[in-house]
Amino acid sequence: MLSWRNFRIPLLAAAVVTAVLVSGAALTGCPTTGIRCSKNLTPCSNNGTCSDLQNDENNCGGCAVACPAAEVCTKGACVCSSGTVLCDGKCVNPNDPLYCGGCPATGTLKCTNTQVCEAGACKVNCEAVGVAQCGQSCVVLAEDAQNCGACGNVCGAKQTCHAGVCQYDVVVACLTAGQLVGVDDASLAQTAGVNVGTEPVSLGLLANTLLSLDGADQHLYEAHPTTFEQFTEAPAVEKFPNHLLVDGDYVYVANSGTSTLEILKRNGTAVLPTYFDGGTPVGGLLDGGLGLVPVSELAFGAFASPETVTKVGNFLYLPLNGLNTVAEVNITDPLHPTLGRSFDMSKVPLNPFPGVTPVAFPWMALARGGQLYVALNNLDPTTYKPGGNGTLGKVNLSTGAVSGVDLGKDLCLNAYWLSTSPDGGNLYVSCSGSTRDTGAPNYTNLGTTQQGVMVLDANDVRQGSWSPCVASSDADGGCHYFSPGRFGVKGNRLYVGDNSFGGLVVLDVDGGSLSERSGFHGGGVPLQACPLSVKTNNSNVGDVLVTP
Amino acid sequence: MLSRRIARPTLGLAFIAAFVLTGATRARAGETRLEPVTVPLPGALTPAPTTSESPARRDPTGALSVIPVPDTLAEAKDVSEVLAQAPGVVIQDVGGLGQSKAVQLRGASSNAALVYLDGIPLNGAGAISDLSLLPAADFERIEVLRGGGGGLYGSGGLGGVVNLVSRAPRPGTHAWAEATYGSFASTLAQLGASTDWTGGSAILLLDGLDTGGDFPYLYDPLQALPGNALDLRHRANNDAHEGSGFLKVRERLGTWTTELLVQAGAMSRGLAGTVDLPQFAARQQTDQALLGLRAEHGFANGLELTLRGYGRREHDAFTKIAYSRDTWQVQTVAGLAADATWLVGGFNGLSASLEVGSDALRNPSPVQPHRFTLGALLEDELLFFAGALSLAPAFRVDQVGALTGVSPKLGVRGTLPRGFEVRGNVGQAFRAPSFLELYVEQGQLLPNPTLKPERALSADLGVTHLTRTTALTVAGFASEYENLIQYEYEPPFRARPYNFSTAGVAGLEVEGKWTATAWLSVRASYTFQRSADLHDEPRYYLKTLPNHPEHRVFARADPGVTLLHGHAEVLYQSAQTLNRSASLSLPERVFVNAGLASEFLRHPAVSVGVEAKNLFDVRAADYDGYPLPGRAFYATARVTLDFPSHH
Repeated sequence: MLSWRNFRIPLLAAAVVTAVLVSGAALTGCPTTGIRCSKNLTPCSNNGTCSDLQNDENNCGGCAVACPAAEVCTKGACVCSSGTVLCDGKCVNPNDPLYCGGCPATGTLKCTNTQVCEAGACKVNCEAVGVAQCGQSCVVLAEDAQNCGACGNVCGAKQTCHAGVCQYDVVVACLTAGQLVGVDDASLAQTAGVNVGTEPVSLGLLANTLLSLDGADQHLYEAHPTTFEQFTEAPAVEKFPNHLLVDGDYVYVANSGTSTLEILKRNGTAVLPTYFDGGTPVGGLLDGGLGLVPVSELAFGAFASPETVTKVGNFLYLPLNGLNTVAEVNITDPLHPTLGRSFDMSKVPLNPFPGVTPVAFPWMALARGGQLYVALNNLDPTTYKPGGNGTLGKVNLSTGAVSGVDLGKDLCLNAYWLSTSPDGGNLYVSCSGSTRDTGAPNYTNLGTTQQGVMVLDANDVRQGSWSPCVASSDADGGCHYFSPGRFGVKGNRLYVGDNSFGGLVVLDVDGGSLSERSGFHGGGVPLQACPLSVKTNNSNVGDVLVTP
Repeated sequence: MLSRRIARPTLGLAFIAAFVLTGATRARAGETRLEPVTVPLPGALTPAPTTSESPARRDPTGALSVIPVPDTLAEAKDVSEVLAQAPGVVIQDVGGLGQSKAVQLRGASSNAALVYLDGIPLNGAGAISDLSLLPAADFERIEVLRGGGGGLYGSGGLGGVVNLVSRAPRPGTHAWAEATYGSFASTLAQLGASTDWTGGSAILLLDGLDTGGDFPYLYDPLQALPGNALDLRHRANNDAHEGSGFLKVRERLGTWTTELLVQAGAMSRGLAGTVDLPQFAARQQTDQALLGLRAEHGFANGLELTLRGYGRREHDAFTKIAYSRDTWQVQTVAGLAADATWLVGGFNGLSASLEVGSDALRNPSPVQPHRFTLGALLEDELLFFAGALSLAPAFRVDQVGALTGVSPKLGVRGTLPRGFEVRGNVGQAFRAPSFLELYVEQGQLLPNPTLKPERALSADLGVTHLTRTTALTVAGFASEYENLIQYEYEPPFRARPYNFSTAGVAGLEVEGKWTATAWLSVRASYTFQRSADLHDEPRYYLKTLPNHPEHRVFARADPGVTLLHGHAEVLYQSAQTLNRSASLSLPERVFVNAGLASEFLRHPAVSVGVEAKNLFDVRAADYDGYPLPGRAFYATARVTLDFPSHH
């Protein structure tokens, strides 16, 4: 017979252990779940989105705080958009006959009902050549953000009119955050990021459609140039795609993981989207795309790791990072690309640091004046840290002769990206520098040194340079945590992406010298183009695209 | 929307099922003898007696599967092939005999499954155990404990525990030799001897593996172009050469039963790399040794005491790996443990364990990490209604270096009429970060000394039905893992581990066995698991976790008698994603294995067998796109000499 005595001990033990169990569980709690936003983004709704309260017109300075029409959100406040002026508390178009040339005196109008407004003046008719009349305003349809491509087609916030199409002046691919961000060149106002894929690494424009090469998803995404809304068409690319080049109807992709050149072609019969309304593309192509399909491919062999692609005439040049060469590919017939010459970067004098035998590791190539310039990482192969001076390879495309350009070691270690001024006179080089840490046991990041941007003239002589190092900025050499990466050139202006904290430095070029429009000097801070990872507090700019 | 449901942290209310084909209970806590472990016969529904730290005793209500390793002919070539038969298990395989194989239990990552050899840990705290280093022929069964019971073993058991039970001496004196030759220039051999004497017994096993390893596979050199011809390539530098020895001696010393276990081995293998970045010269050299001592004593008042000591050392060297310096490491694990069980009043099986240990890693970096571990476990199994209902609360606390982990668990088991049994468990486990994650710079991978332990909350509930010839279990489970450690990009060129993920895995496990006749038995298991990233950026949130196939099926039939018997197996695994955005995936796969064997002589016992693996030559890949071998044939011969027993 069972009795209470039989149960007493077990029940007492059960009570004790269960109490311990419950208390243990209570102390540790349940895991945190739900959407996690990047460091400078805020979850304003429970619909799975994160808002940028600094730059989002619908959540400006706070959730659900919307900016009025014609105003944009900058630094968390609604302000007049670029090209408008503030009159009586409203942001107005100075081409509007009511505000022609500026704010009218109280109670007055600028132009009469029969006049038009042209270049800030009231006139009877539009007079300038190439100017169209939209209502009572005289505008250039190819450039006017209030009448872009057609009368009444108003560009969205922070967009400008490029050849009659509303676009952003600059588009930044935020690799770490998986977003695209638009930037207005005049005001340097930036948009809130829009999620596109997972890790956008390279951008291009084809038929006014934004192409975003995604390194993690292994797709070439096609998107609306201003809303960044993705088409359903997303051609597959291969492992670790690193760079794309758009040329005519063709898109060339360097897949570094599978060591291939992939060539895609736009289907000539596909109906091109147009974007005249500044919003939904006319033609309703959001269910489709450009008809991009892979048409040919060229394999370089294992470990070749082509990183970028540039085109000169009927030839492509791809730095093969793993083979220390630059491959020449004949694309006279893009459907049948063939390998041409190979340029050996190990012949380039690498100006090694003492005790180091560096390897060139070519990364990016660009032609100027019959010469192919090649950015060399120039690394110690045992540590993958800079092993010598910043160095460019230089290939005479006629003779194939290989030489080098010594960039020194003061601010251009680890050459990364190249571009030229519009006239080709200047060669711009960004250099990632050397990363330092505290070593064992914490390996805490101490930032980067010997990084910057350099301007070389036609004779490869340094004309100017820029460095994020500011002597008074911090105690450790004065160099900010800024690692220059890919950059875009808009006229005499450089937009330089950061591989550390998602910054965007804007530099103006005057002759050969560089000056900051947005950067560190004078106590400033560069644009925080990309959100910081909440996990690592880092962010990486994948690419910077300047709209023509 | 299962993914939505598992997003809710309400594990305490989750309905889960756990089940075990085998039924060791805490009532066995009163046993005072350390009996010889015997190989269960095919179709056996109850396990052989177990040791104090075996899953069947440490977690009497837990979700446990016991997989027998056939000892007649060498079918399975490594432990992972046997382990893959259990529900809740996913093997991450880089392809080929002797190549790396790691185990995932219930969706936890491969460094979150503890692997033991007769209770001796094979992975240091937080580290992965490579199952390819263990010849399956050394073991008589594998015990797979899934879910919260893993926490009862200390740090690392987020997904559960795998206990490899080595072969035991058989009565009498025996010697045997077995050799297998097969595809890819593979040879396996085992020499064994077993004997007993008054009060003692011993078994010695010597194993060897030599494989060229190179196998053909199809590679698409132009992956972007649809319809292009595939290249037939050979997996080069995929060879492996292993040798190991195993000795187990049991002796009764007075009133104590003791056991000595020594195991040592060396291995050299090529590291073939990925198909896109094949490595033609990269190699791994590993040598390891393990020593275990056990003493068990039963006291007159019912207290059973087990004292255990163990030490293990593994040296690994990696050379000529592309983009990496040659490197090496030495892992050393040692520990002492005392387990006590006491059946109080016939209703109350109390258990307590105390373990102290040391975990060290030597390597070329400036940091030579070392930490002490301390674990204390208190368990109870309360029996009600003559044992028809048992409640098993447990609480474990561990100190791993500077980190403290708490692992509570509550289990229940009820016996119902008509052969039904219900089991349910809720529990918590943790994994202290590994030395590599905490302290050691590995090329471009930085450590992070600020890492916190990973944590798992698990629950399961299952029902079992047993008859004389059948066993069937259906169980549901749900687990949430938080503070998961993953390497994140650190600009400009490196990566560092961070605690940031929360993941949920829920699903169903089915396991069954049917002994139809004396000459036919059938076993099968099915796993459905749905995984999701539960705390992340929108691009990853609620996406399926990489390398987590939703469906796995294993089925096996064993027809025949000793003179001639066969086996046929089917292994199905559904597609699995490869990245966190779930944009890439590996396709599903089905492998069929079949074999025929005959023991045509009795004295001496001589048997021969042939086996085909991947009979239909399915071309598949695993993990990060590593190709798996196609069709392979093996032939095995075995001779056993039995000598008269003098006892």
